[in-house]
Amino acid sequence: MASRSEPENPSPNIYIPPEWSEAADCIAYDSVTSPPPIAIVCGAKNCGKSTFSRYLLNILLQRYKKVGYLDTDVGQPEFSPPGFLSLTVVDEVTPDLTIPHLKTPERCLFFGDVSSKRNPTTYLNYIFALYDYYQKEYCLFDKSASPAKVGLPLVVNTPGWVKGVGYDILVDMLKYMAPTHAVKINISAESKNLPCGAFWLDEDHDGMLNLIEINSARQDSFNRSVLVQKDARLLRDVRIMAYFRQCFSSNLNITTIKELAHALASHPPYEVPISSIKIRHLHCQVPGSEIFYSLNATIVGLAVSSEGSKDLPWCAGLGIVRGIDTFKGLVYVITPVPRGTLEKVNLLLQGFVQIPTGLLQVQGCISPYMSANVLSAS
Amino acid sequence: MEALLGFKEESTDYDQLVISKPSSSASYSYKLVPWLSWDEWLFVDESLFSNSPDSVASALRRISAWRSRGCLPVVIEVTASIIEIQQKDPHFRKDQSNDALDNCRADQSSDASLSDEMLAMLYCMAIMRLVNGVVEKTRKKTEVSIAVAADAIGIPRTLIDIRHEGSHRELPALEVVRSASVKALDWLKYYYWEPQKKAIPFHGNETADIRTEIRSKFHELALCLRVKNTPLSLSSKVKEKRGSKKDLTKILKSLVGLYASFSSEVVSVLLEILLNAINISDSSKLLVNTQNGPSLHISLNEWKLVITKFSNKEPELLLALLNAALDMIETREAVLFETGGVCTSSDHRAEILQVEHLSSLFKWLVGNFEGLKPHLEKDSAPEIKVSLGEKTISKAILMELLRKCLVLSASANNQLLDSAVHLAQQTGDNYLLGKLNKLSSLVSSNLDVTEEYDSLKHSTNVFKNEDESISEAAKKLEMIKQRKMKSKVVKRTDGDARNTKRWVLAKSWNPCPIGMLLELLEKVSQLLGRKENWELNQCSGKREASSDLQLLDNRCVKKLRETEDGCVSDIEPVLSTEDVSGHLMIGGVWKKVGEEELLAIKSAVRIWPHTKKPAVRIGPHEKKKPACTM
Repeated sequence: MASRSEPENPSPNIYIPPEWSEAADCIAYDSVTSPPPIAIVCGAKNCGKSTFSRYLLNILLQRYKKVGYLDTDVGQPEFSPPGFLSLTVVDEVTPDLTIPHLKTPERCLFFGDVSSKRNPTTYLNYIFALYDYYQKEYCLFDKSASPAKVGLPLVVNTPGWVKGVGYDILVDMLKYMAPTHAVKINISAESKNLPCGAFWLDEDHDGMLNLIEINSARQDSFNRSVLVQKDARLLRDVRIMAYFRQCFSSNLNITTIKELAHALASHPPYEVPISSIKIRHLHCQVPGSEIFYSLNATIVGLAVSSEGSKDLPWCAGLGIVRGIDTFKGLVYVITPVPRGTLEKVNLLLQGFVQIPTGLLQVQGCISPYMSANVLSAS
Repeated sequence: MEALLGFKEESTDYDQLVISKPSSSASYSYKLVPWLSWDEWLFVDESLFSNSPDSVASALRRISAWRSRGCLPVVIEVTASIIEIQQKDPHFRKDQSNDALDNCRADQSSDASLSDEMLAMLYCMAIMRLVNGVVEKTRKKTEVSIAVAADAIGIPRTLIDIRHEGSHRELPALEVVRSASVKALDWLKYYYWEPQKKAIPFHGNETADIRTEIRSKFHELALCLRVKNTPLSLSSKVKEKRGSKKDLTKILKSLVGLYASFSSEVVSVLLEILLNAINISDSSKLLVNTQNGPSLHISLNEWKLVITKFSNKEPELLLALLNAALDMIETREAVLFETGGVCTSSDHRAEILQVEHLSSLFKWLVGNFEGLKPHLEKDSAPEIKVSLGEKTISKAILMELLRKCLVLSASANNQLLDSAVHLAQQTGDNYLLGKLNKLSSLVSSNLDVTEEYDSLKHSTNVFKNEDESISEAAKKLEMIKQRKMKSKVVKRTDGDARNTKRWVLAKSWNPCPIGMLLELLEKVSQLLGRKENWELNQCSGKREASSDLQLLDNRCVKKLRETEDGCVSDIEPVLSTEDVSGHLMIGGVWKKVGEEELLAIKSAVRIWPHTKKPAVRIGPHEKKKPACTM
C-alpha cells in the first residue's frame, strides 16, 4: 500500500493483529478524501473498541493533518473525564496506546452520568448535536471558496452496551450519522455480539457503506474468552483524579491520591457569585430550598448556557464545588479549566458523576461527607 | 491493567486505595454519605416520622437533595417513598389537618386524589423496591431465593408476598398494600433508623458528656506520656498498665476521631485544661513545695507534650487553639469593658486575672508554636511540596492571627504584644518585625509611665500616650492591610485583569476539607451588607427559622448577630450613654477624655468589630456553640 514508515511500537502490551491493521489501512487509504471517511467503531463491552479507535486515529493521522474523534462512551471516554460526550480534533499521533490521554475537546456536552440508560433521549440529542457541529464546521465547505480544503475524517467510538435499549441507541446513532465505514468488533461469545451485517439499515438502502467485521484482539493473543473485566468504577475515579491533577503544574511532585487530595484541599478555589450563575441538576428534581445541600462537595459540569442551543449548553470542563457561602453568596469551585474559558461559564450542571472518595478522605482533612459510624446495613 | 496508568504511579496508588478501606475499618471506617453531619440526619429522622405535615415535607425535601447527590442508602430512599405516598393517600390524610398539608405541598393538593388503583400501584412499587433493594445488599449468594434472604433479615412476610404478587400476579388490593406500608415503615425503623440513631457517637448526650469524654481522653494521654517519659521513677506496675505504645496510639486515634466530629469542643476543652494548669501553677507559686509526690496534677510542661503529640496528627490544632485563646481574651475584655465602670468587685478582679492568664497562655502557646514549627513542616513536608500556595497560605493565617493579636494588645496587654512579635518572626517579614519591636518598646515605656501615674486620675499624659499607642497600632494594622492589598494587586496583574469578572480566584485560602469553608477574619462592612442578602434568601427560600439544622444559613446569622451586638456594645457606651459620656475606660477605670481624642480613639477602636470568630460556613465544625459567646 502506501509507503509509510512503520511506527515503532511503544506499547508492547498492546497487540495489533494483522486483521486490525488491514481494517485501519482500508479506512485510511482505500477511500476518497471528499467526503472524508466517517468510521464508527462498535462492539460488545471490553472487545477493544477504544484500542482500535486509538489505533485507527494514528493511522488516519498519517494521511490527514487532523482527525475528528467523536466519543459517545460516557462511562469511559477517551479524552475527557467520565460523563462527557465530546468531539475532539486530534492533530498528533498518540504513541502509547495503553493510556487514554486527556485532551481539550473541540466541543463537549456534559451528560452527567456514566451510562446512557439514565436518559437515552437526551443522550442521543447530545450526540446528534455534536455530529451536526462536526458536519457544519469540518465537512460542509463552500466548494467555490476553498476547493483545496479537505474535510476532516471522523472516528466515532461507541459504548459497549449493545443489547436492549443500548442496541436501539446504537441503531439510532448509526442511522443518523450514516458512516462511510462501520467497524464491528466481534468476540468469541456469539450471543454477546451485534447482529451480522448492516443491522441498522432498512432493506432498500443504497448508500455507500463499508462494513468491516473484525475479531477482538484478545481472543487471538490469549486464546481465551475475551471479556477481561475491568473495575469500571475505579477506572472512572482514576480518570477524574487525573483530570483534577491538571489543576497543578506538572512539575509539582504529586504522585499519589493522598498527595492529590491534600493539594486539592489547600488549592485556592475560584469564587463565583451565586447570583451570576444558574444551577441545574441534569437528572433530578431538587427543591429550590435544597439546592445548596445538593450541590456542596459534588462534581459539576461547567457550561455556557448562551452558546449552543437552549438545551444543549456547551461545556468547558469539570469542577468540584468545594464549598458554598450562602452569606457572601459565593460558590467555591476547583477546576483546571483556564481562566479565560472559565469567564464564559454561567451554568453549573449537576449530575451523578460521583467525586472519588479518595479525594475526600485524607488524614487531617476528612470531608464531612465521609462519615464514620454508618450502619453497614444501609 | 490497561488504562489504569492515567496518572503517574497510579498502580501503587490503586493498591493503597483498595487496602486502605478494610485496614482502617475497625471503628473509624468512613463511608460517603449525602448528609453534611449527623445533626442533619437526626433532623430528617425526627421530621420524617413527626405528626406535622410541614416537618414531614421538609424532611422529604431534604431527602430529595440527598438523592440528587447519588449516594442515598436504599433504606432511606424507600422510607421517603412510602411516606410520600402515604401523604397522597386520603386514608392517612384525613386525621391530619388538611389545610396545613395543602399549604406545605401545594403541588399535590391540586391533583386532588389518585385512584385507588394508582395508589395501590405506588405502594406496591415502593414495597417491591424495599424488598429487592434491601435484600440485594445482604444476599451474598444468588442461589438463595429472595424470600429466604428477606426472611433472614426479618422483613415481614406480608411484604415479601406483596413483592411476589405485585410482580408476577394480580396487583394487591389497596387495603392490603396500605396496611403493609405501615408494617414496612415499622420494619425500616427497626432495621435502619433506630439502630443508626444509636450508632451515632454521643447522640442525645449533652455537650457536657462529650466534653467529659474529651477531657478524660486528654488526661489519659497526658498520663500515658508521663509514664512513658519517666521510665524509672515510677512503679513498674503502673507502667505496665498504661503507657504502652499501643495504648498511646489508641488514645490518640480516639482523640483524632473526636476532633473530626467535635473540633470546637476539643479545642475549648484543651484550652480549659491549659488555663487550669496555668491557674494552678500560678497559685502553687504561693504554696511553696506542697508537692504530694507524682500527683494527678499535670503540669504545663506535660501538656506541652500532649499538644505536640496531638498536633502531629492534627496540624491545624495549634492554630485553632491560638485563635480560641484570642477569642476568649476578646470576650473577657469586652465583659470588662462593659462592667468595668461600675464594679470593682472580686468578680472583676478575677476577670482581669483570667485575661492575664489567657494572655500568658497565649504567649506560651506561641512559644510552643515556634518550637513546633520545624516539626510541623517536617511532618507536612509533602503538602508543602505539593502546593506552591501552601507557604503563603500559612503566612496569611499567621498574619490574621498577628492582626488579631495586635488589636487585642492595644489594651496594653504586654504579653500579647510579645506574642505578636514572636508571630511576626514566624512570618519572616523583617520589616514588619522591626516595626513591631519599636511598637513594643514604645508601649512598654508607656506602661512604666502608667504605673507611675496610676493614682493620678487626670493625668492626660497617660491616655495621650495610650492614645498614641492605640493609633500606632491602628497605623500598623493599616500598613499591614496595605501590604496585603499590594501583594494582592501584584497577584492580580499576573492574570488578565478584566473588570467584570465572574470567576475570581479566592484571595486567601486556608486548607480545609472539601465540602467545608474556613475563614478567619472579615470586615464589618461586608458583614452588614450581608444581612440584607440573608433576608432575601430567607424570603425566597421560605425556610422555617425554627429548624435549627439549616446550618447553611442560620448558623451564620447567629454569628453575624453576635458580631453586631459586639460592635454595638463596644462603641456605643463610650459615645452615647449619658452618664459615662466623655469618659473612656483605661486600664479598668473611667477617665475623662476630650472630643478630639475621642474621635481619634474611635477611629482606632473601630478595628474592634473587625475581628470575628473563625467561621466555618458549611460544616459540622460550627454546629456546636463555642464555649464562650459574647
